Amino acid sequence: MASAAEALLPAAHDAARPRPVLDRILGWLTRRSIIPLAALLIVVIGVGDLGTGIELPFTILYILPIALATWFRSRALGMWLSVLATSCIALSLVREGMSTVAIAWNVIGAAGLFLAASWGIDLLRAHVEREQALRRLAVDQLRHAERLNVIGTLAAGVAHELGTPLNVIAGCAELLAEDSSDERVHRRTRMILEQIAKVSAIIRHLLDFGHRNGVTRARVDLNAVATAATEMLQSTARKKDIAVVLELGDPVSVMGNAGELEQVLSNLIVNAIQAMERGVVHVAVLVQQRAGRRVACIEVADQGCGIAPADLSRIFDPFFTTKGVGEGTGLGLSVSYGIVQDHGGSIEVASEPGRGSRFTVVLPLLD
Amino acid sequence: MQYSKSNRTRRLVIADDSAEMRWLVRSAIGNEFGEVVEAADGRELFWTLLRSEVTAKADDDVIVTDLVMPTYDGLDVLGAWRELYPDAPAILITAFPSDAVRRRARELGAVVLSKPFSTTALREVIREAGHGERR
Repeated sequence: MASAAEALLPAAHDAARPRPVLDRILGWLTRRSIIPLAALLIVVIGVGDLGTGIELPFTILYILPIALATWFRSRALGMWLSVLATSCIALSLVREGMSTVAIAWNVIGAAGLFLAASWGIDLLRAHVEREQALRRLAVDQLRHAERLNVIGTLAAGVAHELGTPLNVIAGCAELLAEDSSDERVHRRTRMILEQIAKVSAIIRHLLDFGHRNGVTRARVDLNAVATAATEMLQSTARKKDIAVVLELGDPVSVMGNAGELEQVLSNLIVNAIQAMERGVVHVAVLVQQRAGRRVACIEVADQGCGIAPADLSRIFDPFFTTKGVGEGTGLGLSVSYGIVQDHGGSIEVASEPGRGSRFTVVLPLLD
Repeated sequence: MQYSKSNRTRRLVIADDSAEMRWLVRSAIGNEFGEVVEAADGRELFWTLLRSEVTAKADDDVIVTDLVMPTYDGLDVLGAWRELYPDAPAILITAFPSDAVRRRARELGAVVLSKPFSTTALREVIREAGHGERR
């Protein structure tokens, strides 16, 4: 699945998959080392030129543009300058009546030097770009996590502060009802209490997102969690002509809270079902490699409407929803994010509008 | 320990930093108790309890305390109080109790009541704690 999500969360590990030999070379080939390297090559060519009896001005004539090309680290500029220099040298040498060996040496030397320089520059540029991309991704992730953390703290604070006044409102309504025999008073206080129950539910979710609700942890088998969540939602899926297919391998254990992890998974599966008209939701529990480390993963992949790239960076924000009014509170993914963060994990998203989305919950594996 | 005393002969100690919340608890069940005392923070609650110890009424106190309060929280005070009176009935009110809070409350023999609670639930819990066996 094409990844419109690369701008978003994790995936840094993909770019960082181990390539030790190349990485060592690229690590050595830095912006600082490329210029001395080019200078060394130029000296070697110069010495060779002197050895083959070519006069110094000619050597300088073709070495200078190549050195400049290297300095400016531009492949196109380097190529044109090299061609120009090589042609000039070849022409002037022929006019001077130099030996064929000397001419060949100069032409090959100039071409070799150019190729070496552009190869080096190319590698260096790719390396720098990769590093910059990784850094940008890491900064984006940090910023995103930081934003969600601030929202979480704020949400938890607000939720906590609202608890007491809500309780007082509910209590007053109840006391009013107790003191009155008027049916209208009873009806209205009942409405107050119902609304307070709704607000309380939202507050509970906000607190879950802010993960200020310390819970007990134990060894959890993700296969059992996935089986429970999938079985629970089969009938919901069937109503929409959707099948939830579960793929399990060997037992995969993590340290966590089974109830919370099941909540995360059921959130993801419900979202997948809601994103589709019909088709299959794939749920898989597997062990994968992330940055050279084995991690436990639960994947939920749908063939639904996908997520617009503009929405990707906001899907974990509390109250952000693209569902219709009354269909979603916009807290499901926020709560899931909070829970997974609390478990030391992350949620990865890959989505292509019109094709579907794949959410992967990544958790530290318990060996 | 079994409590056989009626709440009429008992004292209700309400500790909460919200005056409205104290009012609510008092309004809901205060009339069942011989005396109702309020404390606005953990420190005040502790001194209220200590004073009752001097007047030898400590056994008669039913404590209803909020968890999060200035100076000392409800669990701090209950922890200190339990060392002196391991069986005094206590109810801990908290917005959304974590597992750790529930565990600690259980150790201290306090009943946890999470906000928002109904007055009916509050009355039941206080009556049970006052009359019944220590939890």
